[in-house]
Amino acid sequence: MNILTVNGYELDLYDKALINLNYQLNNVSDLSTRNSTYSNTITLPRTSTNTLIFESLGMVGNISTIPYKKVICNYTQNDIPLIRDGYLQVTDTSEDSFKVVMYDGIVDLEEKLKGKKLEDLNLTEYNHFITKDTYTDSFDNTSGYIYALANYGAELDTFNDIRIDYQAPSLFMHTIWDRIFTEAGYTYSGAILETDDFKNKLVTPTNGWEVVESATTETFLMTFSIDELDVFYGNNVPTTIPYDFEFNEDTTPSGFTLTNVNTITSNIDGVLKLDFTTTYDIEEGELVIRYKKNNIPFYIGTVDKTDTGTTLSRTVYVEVVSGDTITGGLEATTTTFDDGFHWRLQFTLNNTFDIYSQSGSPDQLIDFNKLYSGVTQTSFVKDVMQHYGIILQSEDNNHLEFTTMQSLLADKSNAEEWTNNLVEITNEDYVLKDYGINNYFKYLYEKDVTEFDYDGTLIVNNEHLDFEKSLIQSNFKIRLTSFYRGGNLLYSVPLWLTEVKDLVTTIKKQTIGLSFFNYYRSPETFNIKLFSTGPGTSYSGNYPFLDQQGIEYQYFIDNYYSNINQMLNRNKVVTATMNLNEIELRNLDFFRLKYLKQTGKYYYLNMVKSPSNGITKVELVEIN
Amino acid sequence: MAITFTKEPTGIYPAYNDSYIEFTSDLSANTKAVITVLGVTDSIYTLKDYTIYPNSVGKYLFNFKGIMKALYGLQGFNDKYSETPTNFPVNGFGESISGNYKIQSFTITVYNNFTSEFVNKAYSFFKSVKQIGEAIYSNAYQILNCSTNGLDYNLTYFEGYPFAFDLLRVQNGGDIIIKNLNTNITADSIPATSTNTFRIYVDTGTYNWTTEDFLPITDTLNRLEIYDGSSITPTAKTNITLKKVPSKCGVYLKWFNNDGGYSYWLFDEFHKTTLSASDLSTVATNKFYNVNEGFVAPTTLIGKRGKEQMKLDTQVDRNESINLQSLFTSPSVQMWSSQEPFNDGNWINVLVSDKYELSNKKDINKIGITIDLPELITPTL
Repeated sequence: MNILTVNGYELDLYDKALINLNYQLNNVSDLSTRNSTYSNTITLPRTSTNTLIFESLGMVGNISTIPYKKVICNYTQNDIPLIRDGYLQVTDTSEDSFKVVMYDGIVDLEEKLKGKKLEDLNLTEYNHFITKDTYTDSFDNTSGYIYALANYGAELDTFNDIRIDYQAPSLFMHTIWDRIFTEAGYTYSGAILETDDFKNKLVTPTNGWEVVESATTETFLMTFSIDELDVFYGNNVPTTIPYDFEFNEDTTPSGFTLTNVNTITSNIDGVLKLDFTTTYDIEEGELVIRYKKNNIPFYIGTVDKTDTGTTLSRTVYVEVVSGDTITGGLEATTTTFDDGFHWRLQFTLNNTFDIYSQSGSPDQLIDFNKLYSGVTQTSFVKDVMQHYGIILQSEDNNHLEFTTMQSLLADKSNAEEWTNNLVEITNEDYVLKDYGINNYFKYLYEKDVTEFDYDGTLIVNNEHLDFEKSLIQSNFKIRLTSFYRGGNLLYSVPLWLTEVKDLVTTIKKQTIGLSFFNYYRSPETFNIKLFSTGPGTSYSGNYPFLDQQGIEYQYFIDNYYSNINQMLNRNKVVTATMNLNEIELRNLDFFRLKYLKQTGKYYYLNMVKSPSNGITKVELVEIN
Repeated sequence: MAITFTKEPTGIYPAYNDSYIEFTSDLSANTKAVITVLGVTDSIYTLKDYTIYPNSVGKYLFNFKGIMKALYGLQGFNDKYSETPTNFPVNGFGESISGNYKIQSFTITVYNNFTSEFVNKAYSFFKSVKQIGEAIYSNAYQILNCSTNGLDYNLTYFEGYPFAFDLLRVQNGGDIIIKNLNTNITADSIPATSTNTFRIYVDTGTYNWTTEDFLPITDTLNRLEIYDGSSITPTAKTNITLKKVPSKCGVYLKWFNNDGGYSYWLFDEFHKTTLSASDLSTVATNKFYNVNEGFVAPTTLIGKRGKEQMKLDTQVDRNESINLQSLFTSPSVQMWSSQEPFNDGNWINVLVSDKYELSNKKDINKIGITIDLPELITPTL
């Protein structure tokens, strides 16, 4: 029995309606999870129920917007849910029927990221004022930001001095990646994301800034604390409960007013430093603490029972104007202590924060939301995925699973045995579409560059293909080399432009494209200097340097596309009929190869077409 | 300013026929009208407004048929009531039932670029359809079955099987009195508790008017008069010639008729049943045996699909043949699960095929139909 519901209401179906579901693995870098599963065009009877569910679509005078919306749908076949929280598109209406197509967009990732840019990410926790300490403290970072040495365009350094106010912090690529998905509401996993090759990449800013040559001083204003939260809660299902903080003024009010027990209002303009101290004791539960300015989070901290008893300290800089409000709270998610029978929250939590004002111009704050602009989150994620040959499979509960085609095609030990499901192999197809013999993976380059040394080529040995094809164009720009410092080659990332006119040197900020780099550390001793008037201080340490070695596309092709290359060289797409029941369809795993004893070969599953009334047809690509 | 109607449905109107309203507005430079359906609380989905535009002389035309069809269609055509009174014996053999008679309210709003004017309208509908040449009767007590005048009805009742009939509309507070003109006996009155269609139960399948001494009827033609004993509609009445067939075995069908009610008939006890089955696909057995390891068939059957058909016969007189006609075009036909009278059972949805052929030369015609039972549930791989 097949059930199709839309917005929770069950549609009438023709008896023995033929509903074919097509399951397909996403292509590399494809964020559009809606292509994972889609149906044939289904004809629905124009019954009263269906007409009313579609807002009187087809009736004279109707103003239904259903055909223009993605209508949430669920489809169950023989009591097994095959599409959950997908969406349905009504394509046309005739005298006695509607035609619809279903898509399984458990979550349409591309839709969620649409229109968002890197500057929309919440990077407040990384904001800081440049001091010698913040500069050198970043050297050992492996997440967040790091001040990696490069020539950023301000020609002020002497042979031994480094003007650190004209050095730029770079965000780790994996930090940007994490923020994009976390703020879109996802969790994610994937072995590639844990590798050094992924985690060692830096992304340099796109925007220089006006350097204000004066140090800031901070002035203590006041301390707030929250009423201690002491929670014990239990249930037999996982639950998330929000708690709003109730604030207390621990010191004489200055610059802020407690408007009500949950809201602090600023009476001043300027940049604030907030030192948060959180002490907690957690037996069960996971807590996400959020502080918000005008309802937009600027501080997010996560704690769970693995760190119980420790103190979480965090400094955050945030710019306010008079009238801005600060609120806070946490979301507590129960955890289970007996394998899912009981779920519980059991914790105590205290939180205080000291507020300091910062003298000087707000422009002195290194604000990461101003350092990165003009790049969409979608294009960033796609670029990264293309470099590593990453594919995406969406899962339930807003969890995303990432893997690489390289590892998928090599993982025979984890293959599924489909021998007993095979009915027959009906066809083998050798024609390769969308590729040439020489397939180019390209970067952007500076103007006037004629040697594109960082581009790569994936060569497919198939004489029938076009000689060349441009396969991938990255939005990252390759930078020119600059001078040496301490034996280390610097790269030119021109966030500033130095102009000398009539013996007057002017440094102008610039906006440039995005670049990504490896980095390495080298033990050096330099004089680091803050502002033209600041004294040089000798500092010896492991200085990080931006490095473009290992960024060549050929490196990525050789390491992440070699298995695809082998497969393309002897492309064979096998069409077969399989006996798969509804549970097997529900649990289809495109991330596992399939083995057929009948041929003695491994295959990767490309597509599944499953009719509601018969045998399933699959497309398998043979692994060489 | 006013909205003037030049056409609108009148009386209690059949919902499945076109029900046009045509109107004009003297709001200057009016550009559109919006029809809003009011008070729909049992819809599964919010009913949106309907927007229409005037013709070149400023006349608007709108057909309520689509809306009414949609509202009635939510319930389907299966009877949501049974042939057993909900509150017997307290309320006797009758009660008000909802779902057929409906008063539907609308707001019609006319707009120009600056302002609007509106009017509220209410129309009465019932769940029925009229064919070309058929009249809409004004008798509110008409029975939801076929008739030549909306006042006199001929019904056949098979003792021992569920049987009821519906009066189109009885006002709240009305008192239904049934009088057997043959015996001059009047049954206890049955109150109407809402302004709605009123169902009169004759036989529940296990007890009936005669067994309960409500209004004994004989195994012949019983002339019944049904009227309102209250002062609410003292002149409303209807006449039934109820032919009672003594209990016997047979295949009993019930169907939704064109007049918005339900009709019943007992087909002959002796009928032909056909069971047919077809194979589903085969799958490979994948045993990889050599010859000396024993032969195994390379394929195995997934399962079979089966269905059952019954060919039924009956004989009808002229009046009965008219009643039976709607069986062949009904959207809802059900078969009583028991083929013996005075047995508990339930209604099973069936499909009817065959053609209806009648000779008006004969007083008695033989009618045959084929019904398809629900598909058999079979085990499959």
